[in-house]
Amino acid sequence: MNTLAHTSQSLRGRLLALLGSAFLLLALGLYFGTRTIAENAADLTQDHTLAASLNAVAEQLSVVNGEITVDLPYAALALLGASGDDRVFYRVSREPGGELTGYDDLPHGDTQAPNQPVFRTEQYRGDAVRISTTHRQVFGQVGVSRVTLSIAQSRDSRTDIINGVSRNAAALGLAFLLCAMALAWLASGNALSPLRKLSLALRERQPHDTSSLQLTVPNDIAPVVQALNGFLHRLRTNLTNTETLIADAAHRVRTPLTAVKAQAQLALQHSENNAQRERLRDLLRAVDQTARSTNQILDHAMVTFRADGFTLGERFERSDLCALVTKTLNELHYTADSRDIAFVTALPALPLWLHIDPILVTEAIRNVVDNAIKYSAPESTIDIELSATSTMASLLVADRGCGIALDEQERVQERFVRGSNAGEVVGSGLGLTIVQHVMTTHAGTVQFAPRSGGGTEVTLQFPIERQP
Amino acid sequence: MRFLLVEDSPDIGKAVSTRMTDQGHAVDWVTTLADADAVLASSAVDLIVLDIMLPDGDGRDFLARHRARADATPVLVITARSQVSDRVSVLDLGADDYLTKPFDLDELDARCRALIRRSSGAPQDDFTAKNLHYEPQSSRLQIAGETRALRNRENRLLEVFFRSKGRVLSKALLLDRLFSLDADVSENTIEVYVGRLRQHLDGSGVRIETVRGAGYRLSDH
Repeated sequence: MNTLAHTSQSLRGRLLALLGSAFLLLALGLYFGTRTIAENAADLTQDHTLAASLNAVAEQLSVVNGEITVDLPYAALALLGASGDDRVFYRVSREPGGELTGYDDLPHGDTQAPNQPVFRTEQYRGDAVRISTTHRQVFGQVGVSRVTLSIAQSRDSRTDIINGVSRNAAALGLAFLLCAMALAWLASGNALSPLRKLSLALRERQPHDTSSLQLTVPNDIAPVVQALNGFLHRLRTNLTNTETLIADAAHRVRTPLTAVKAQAQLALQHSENNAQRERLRDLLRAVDQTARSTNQILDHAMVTFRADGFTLGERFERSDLCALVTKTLNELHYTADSRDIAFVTALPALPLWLHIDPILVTEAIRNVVDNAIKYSAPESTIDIELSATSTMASLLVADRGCGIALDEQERVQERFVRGSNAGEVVGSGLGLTIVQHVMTTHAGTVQFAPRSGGGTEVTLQFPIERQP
Repeated sequence: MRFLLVEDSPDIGKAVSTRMTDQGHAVDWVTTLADADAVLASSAVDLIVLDIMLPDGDGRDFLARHRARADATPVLVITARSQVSDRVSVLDLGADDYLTKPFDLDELDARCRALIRRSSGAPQDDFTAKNLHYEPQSSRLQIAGETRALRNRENRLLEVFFRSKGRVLSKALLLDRLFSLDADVSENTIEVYVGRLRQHLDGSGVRIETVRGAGYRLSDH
């Protein structure tokens, strides 16, 4: 049975991925937004300064002796040059009349009206520069002249400012992202903690524990817990019903069988009629066969039920294998004695403690020894040896019976399969199946070997678990 | 010996009590725990044979009450052995022995005898003839003071002869008495065991005579 669940990405991972993507978008928005605002602000500042300088220069325009002159106010230009390494260019030209002063290759902007400076950005002498241009009408010797003034400033300091602001914005965005992710981590952990509590509670349960889950959970996952508890309740009821059924079946079947057997035995002993006794003897054997088969079937049901995963763990306890063997031999003593079969035992003097289900193991031992008795000749002996190494406890049961053919040693462990030489010995073919089942449940083995001189050696081996 | 049989199944009760009567015991057969209490209150018994599932309660409760009274009367419990769950073992509750259904009447006999032998310590049911002393319960055969060991089957066969002393017993009847369930036993087996008993009885003045065409007869003439 595959008990592994198919898993996909964890809930927390999903939440974090989703929130992380949203936070990253927000952080990027914050960065680019701040950068755009900084660019606009820097442009505005530069334009204001340029306009003020332009105005200051224009104020200095005068007409001397009919000639238009401009007296450059160096303070105004110094204001522009003061910010960092920025370079400043200017050009004053008139129309008509040509250049007045400055760099005559600095392009003028197209001005529409006096006192309304225009701005544009151009490449000039290898640098990006911001050029502001205005014009004035001046009355001179030749009438009205149009004087066009341009001042340009390189954009280095603006770029510096924008980069500085961008760096800060990036740092801020990153800090925001980290804080937000940390909060998301904490919040998702907190929100998912009831689920974790639930899975922990399930993981720590003993496999046989069918009691209801006692957990306070948020109402979102209450249906899950309710469904689980409902399932556990049904399982518990089923197990109890099965147990009651097996116990009831045992009682209801065994009691009438006992009655039939006892009555038949009694009738046989009280009958003086030979023909009648013959029939009674046949009847008694048939009853005995039925009784044994029924017994084995009920025992098999019991073993299967107990060895089932759901009920197994709770039945295991520290048990003395030596005492179990002794008890079982005592139980079978009369059966053996009625055929004058003697047990020759070699048991350790000290208890041999194993972590096992004592009832299942008793059942296995009983079946092995019972088989040995059934298939042994009268007045023979059965050797029973119990020994242990540090890792393995071995129970050897050796009889002088008819043996099991080599090629049948696997098959006789199957249900309802009996050795071909079983003859008229009554049996159900379930005994070794029970033994095999019990040994598998205990991670042990059952082995058959022919005994030298005739008979069978059955060895049950139990692993001894190291105590931590 | 006086036995108290507590068994509610009429067929089992009838068969067991008949068998016990055959063995020479007095049997009080009751079907409820209340009746069992009533018998014990009025008279002493030598052995109690107790079924576990009874109409008015659980035999284990009766057992616990019985032990609480510090009553030493041996108790043989009959169970339907269905230990699906861990129930308290009847031995832990103070039963002296137990028998699982369906059981052999012979095994019931054997276990009852063992319990009585253990509790009273004295031979209950012995035979003496000439210089022979025979205690079937302990398989002891003494001839002129010398003890001879008997195997189980030899003992059972000898006891059948002593209980029917002077009567002719056919091989078939002996076969049914001793080996009714053993498939591998034939009338030849009876001859083998009779032969062994004759050797054991040698020198005692008691002998097993062959009655031609009819069977065997124990005689001390």
